[in-house]
Order: sequence, then C-alpha cells, then structure tokens
Amino acid sequence: MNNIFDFEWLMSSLRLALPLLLTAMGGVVCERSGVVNIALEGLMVVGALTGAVIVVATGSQPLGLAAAFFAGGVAGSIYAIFVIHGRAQQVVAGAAFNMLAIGVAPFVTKALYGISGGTPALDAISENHDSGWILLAWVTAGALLSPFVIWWILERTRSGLLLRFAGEEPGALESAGISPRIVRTCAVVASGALAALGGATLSVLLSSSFARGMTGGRGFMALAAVIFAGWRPMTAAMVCLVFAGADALQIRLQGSEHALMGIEIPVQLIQALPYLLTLIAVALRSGVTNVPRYLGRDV
Amino acid sequence: MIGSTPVYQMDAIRVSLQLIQLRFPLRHLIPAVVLLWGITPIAMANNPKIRVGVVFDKGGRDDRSFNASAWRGLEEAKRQLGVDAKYVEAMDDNAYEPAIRTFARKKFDLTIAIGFSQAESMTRVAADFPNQRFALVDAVSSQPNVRSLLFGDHEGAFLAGAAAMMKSTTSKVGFIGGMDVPLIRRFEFGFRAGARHVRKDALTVANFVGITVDSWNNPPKAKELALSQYNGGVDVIYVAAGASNIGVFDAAGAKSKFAIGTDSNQNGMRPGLILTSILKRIDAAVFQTIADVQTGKFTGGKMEFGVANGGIDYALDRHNEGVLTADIRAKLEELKRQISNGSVKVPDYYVETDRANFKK
Repeated sequence: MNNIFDFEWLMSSLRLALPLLLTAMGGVVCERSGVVNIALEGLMVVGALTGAVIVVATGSQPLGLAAAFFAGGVAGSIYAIFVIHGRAQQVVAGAAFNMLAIGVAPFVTKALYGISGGTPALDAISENHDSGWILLAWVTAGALLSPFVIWWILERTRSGLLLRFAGEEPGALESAGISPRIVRTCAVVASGALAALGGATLSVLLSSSFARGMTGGRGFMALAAVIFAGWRPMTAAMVCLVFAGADALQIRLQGSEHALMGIEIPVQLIQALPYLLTLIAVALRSGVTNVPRYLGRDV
Repeated sequence: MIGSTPVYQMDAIRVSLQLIQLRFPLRHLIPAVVLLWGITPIAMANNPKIRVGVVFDKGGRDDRSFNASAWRGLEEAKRQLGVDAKYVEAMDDNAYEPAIRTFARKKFDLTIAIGFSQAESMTRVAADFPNQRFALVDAVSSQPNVRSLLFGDHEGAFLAGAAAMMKSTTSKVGFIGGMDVPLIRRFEFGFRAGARHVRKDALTVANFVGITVDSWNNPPKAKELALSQYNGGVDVIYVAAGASNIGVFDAAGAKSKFAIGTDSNQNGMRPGLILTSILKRIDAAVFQTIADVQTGKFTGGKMEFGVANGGIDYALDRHNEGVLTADIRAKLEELKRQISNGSVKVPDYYVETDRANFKK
C-alpha cells in the first residue's frame, strides 16, 4: 500500500495511455482542420480489427499495425467523403460511422472465422512475446513523441498552417487558391490512420486478440481529452496521461486489501475514479477556449 | 402434397391465406407460397428430427469458455442424437427476448437460453408459450415448462483455490472476475475458501475487470489487473471473465506465472502456464436436456450439477499434466470426494448466512 506510485504504476499508466494518446492525436489533427470527429471510436474499432486479422494471417505484429494504419486512412477517407464532400452533418455522420464500424466488426469476424465474438487468439504474439515487448516499447516511445511532432507540424510547417486555416478561416485559404476541402480531407485521412493505429495497439500489442466491444469508449475519452486540452496536441497528451494514470491507480487500489485504514473501498467507487477525475477536470475548466472557428461548419 | 402436412400447419396455411387475401393484391403469388410451405413439412415428416434453438449470451458462441461449453453440448447432440439445431448470438440485453420468442413461435421443440441475464426474458416467453419446452442455464425460472440448469460454481472455484494455493510458492493467490455481479462473487467466495482450506494463512486478492457488460470483452484491462497482481506477489491467478480471460493468460505468459481457466478447458491457450481449468459441464447439461426431450422425459424445474455428479470438474490433459503434479491431483480428488459426501462444506455467496459469516 505504501508504494502505489512506483515504477509498475508508471509502466501500467503508459500502456493504458498508448491507445488514448494516438487516438487523441488523430482527434487534434482532424478537429483543428474544422471537422468534428465523433467517429474516433469507430476508427479505433477498424484499427483493432484490421490489426488482429492481419496478425492472424501473417503472424507479424508490425505488419498488423501497418495494415491498421492504412485501413484507418481508408476508413477516414470514407468518413471524409460523407462529411466534407457529401456535406453531412458532422456529429450525426460520426455517430453513424461508429455504429457502422461496431456493427460490421462481428460480421467480418463471422465471415472470416465463423465467430461473431472476435478473432481467434493471435498465437504469433504468445509465441514470441519478448520481441513483442520491444515493439511495444518502440510504439510507446513513438506515441509519446507524437504530440511534439504534431505540434511542430501544426505550428511550424506550411502544411500545418494550411490545416489551421481550414479550421479557422477557410475563406482566406480559398482566396489563396487552395481548396479547404482538400486540406480537410487530408486531415481526416491522417486522423483515421492515427486513431486506427491507437485501436490496433489494443488488439495487437496490449492483448492478443480482437474482442467485440474491446475499445470500450476509449475513442470518446480521447475526444474528451482533445476538447479539454483546447485542441492543443501537447496538452491533450498530458490529459491522456492523467486519464491513464488514474486508470492504473484504480487497478492498483482495487488490488489492495487494506486500502484506507482497513476499510475496503467498494469496487464500483474505485472504478468510477477515472470518470470522476474527468468530470472534476472538465468542471474546473468551464468555458473552453481556442475552439477552431469553423469547427463543424461547411466550407 | 398438402395432404401430408400436419394438421396445425393446415390451419396455419388457411389463416395465412385469408390474411394474404385481405392484405395483398398479388394473389397470383399465393399458389407459389403454398407450394413452398407445403414442401418443407414433407421433408421434415420423412425425418422426424427434433428442433433445438439456442440463444447464446453476449460473449458469443466461441468465447472458448462459458458459451463454448454449451456449444459443444449442442454439437454433440447434433452428432449423436441427430437433432436439428439453430442458434443466435445475442449482441446485447435487448436481443434475448426477440430471439427466444422467435424460436418459440417457430415451434422449436426446445429453446435453450445460456446465461443468467436471460432469465427474465425466458420467463416472459415461456409464460406466453405454456405448451413448449425451454431450458435456462445459470438461473431459476418460475415457469413450469422451463428446466433450470444450475451449477455449483462455488465448488469448482473451491477446487481452483485449493489447486492454486498448493502450487503457490508465495502463499498469495489471486482471483480476477469479469463483471462485478453475484455469480462472479460466488466464484470469488469459493476461491478464497479453497485457498484457505489448504493453508490457513493464505493471502487472497480479488479484482474485477469492470462493472459494465464490456467487462467480458476487455482483455487489455484484464491483462493490466493480472500484471498488477503478479507484481504484488501473486503467483497463481484464477480468472472468470469470459472473453477477457485471454488477457490474464497473456500476463501469465509475460511473467511466466500460473493462471487457472474457467468453464471450458483452456489449458491449451498457454500450455504449461495454465495450471488447470475448472470445467463447467454445460455441454453435458445441454446434451442431457436435448436427449430428454427426444425420449419424452423432459421435465421442468431445477436440475443441479456439481462436483458430486460430475457437472463440475477440473481439466487434466497433456498441456497441464506437467504442472498439475500428482500430489495436487491426489489432494483435489480427495477434496472432490469430501465435497460430494458433505464432509467439506463450501461457502456459497447465494446463501445469505454463508455471505454474512464469510471473511475476506
């Protein structure tokens, strides 16, 4: 009990943060370009499923992650067609996309393996989990670095400038002869790829199979982190780490028998901790600033 | 052709024809419909197979644990008894009742619902179809036409606790449950009692994956819980968390420590690291019930399965015979005898006095 915040807690937090972090980065990219992305959850499902299917087929974890990244881009472009070119209401289209992805996943696993609950166990992962840990370490390092990269792209490069203009002042972009729709499409595709990679970490790195409903609302948590962070990549990453830290703390508190002077805290209360923390954080930060001016608006 | 169809279907055809004539102007299609409808019963009349419908719980037919055990029973019945079987996998709580009702309405000879969460739906449908037969796993229904298949999960968990404590070198063993519901608390109780039966000063810890239905499908979370327990000195974990079980097995692989599986034989999922699996012979119960329907011996009411009648057991195969040593096996067999003849009493979470007297 005296060493809750130890090295293991840190590692546990990092693992739990990994899918959130990547997905939140996808959310930042998309929303800064002016497109609301409720579909993050569905994109994570796409990634988790694709990753697992490819690992079952090839036995290679890196290939599974790469395939998920690619599939996420494709799924993102489908979403982009609806919301940018079809001018669908973004929140509604995003919610519909989530339902589609969650509904199609059992259909795919049923068609491929005759199981509607998920994919078979990924034997490749259990057989060589040593190399799996190394891959996990690299991907985690990459994910921790990603907020800095995204920040640099957004604030210091021409593409980032165009992307921000698509979200803040698309008219100016148009008068400069650049189509804000194309810029937004690129952002949505990138966002899909990142969110799907986040989802794939769940099925390929953090466990060893795809199970129905395994994303469990993480896409929405990532979105909450993005909004709470005022659409700033580094702040969003911090928020994700805090969420994950609380979740890891929850796991460790649950394991300890003599929590708080011999009084056992009910499981339900402990498990509500991350959500409670989110609520407190949001309440402390009412009046969110820095909203992209054209967020959710057609161009 | 129509002459050979059973009487009730003739009635149905006549009523339907009237309805069709009222509602549809496309009357010229009616002969075709009647023809198709007429052919199906002929095929069935030549081969009087009984028809069985199964509604699986949310984990899905192939969860390699709870539902999978029922699935094996159904497959066995198809093979040995030659019954005609159909199944539906419920996607959420709202799917149970329509699925059960559809089987009942199609006059299936037996409809089986797998899992305690289907109890209310089953009771409602069974009341609407009093002349049809139903079976329900893990819960009691008040309807006389429902057979409730009940299992002594606490006895199996007791065996798991005993096996875990005999294997443990740290005297500390863990339990990971799926959703925090009474059924899984029953597992936890039995497990803790079993560990303490072997060693008085046994340390037991228990975690739950969650408090929502997602808990059964959240391997990453189960893995984190298991890693946390292993890091805290636990060296054997008993897991009852449906499709999340695999997360615990992953953690066992990463830490080279032991886990115990649930409901189906999961020993092969991490050979050598899964100490044993507690078998819940839903397959045997399902098979028995189907056989009873076929031979006309079906009765409603409770049917209990436990260690005494082989409904609960532990798995031994080539994957775990190296780790589940002869001493442990001998002790487990002795415990099975003692539980069967009542000399060892396993505390049951479902019994209020047991719950009140039990110390964590």
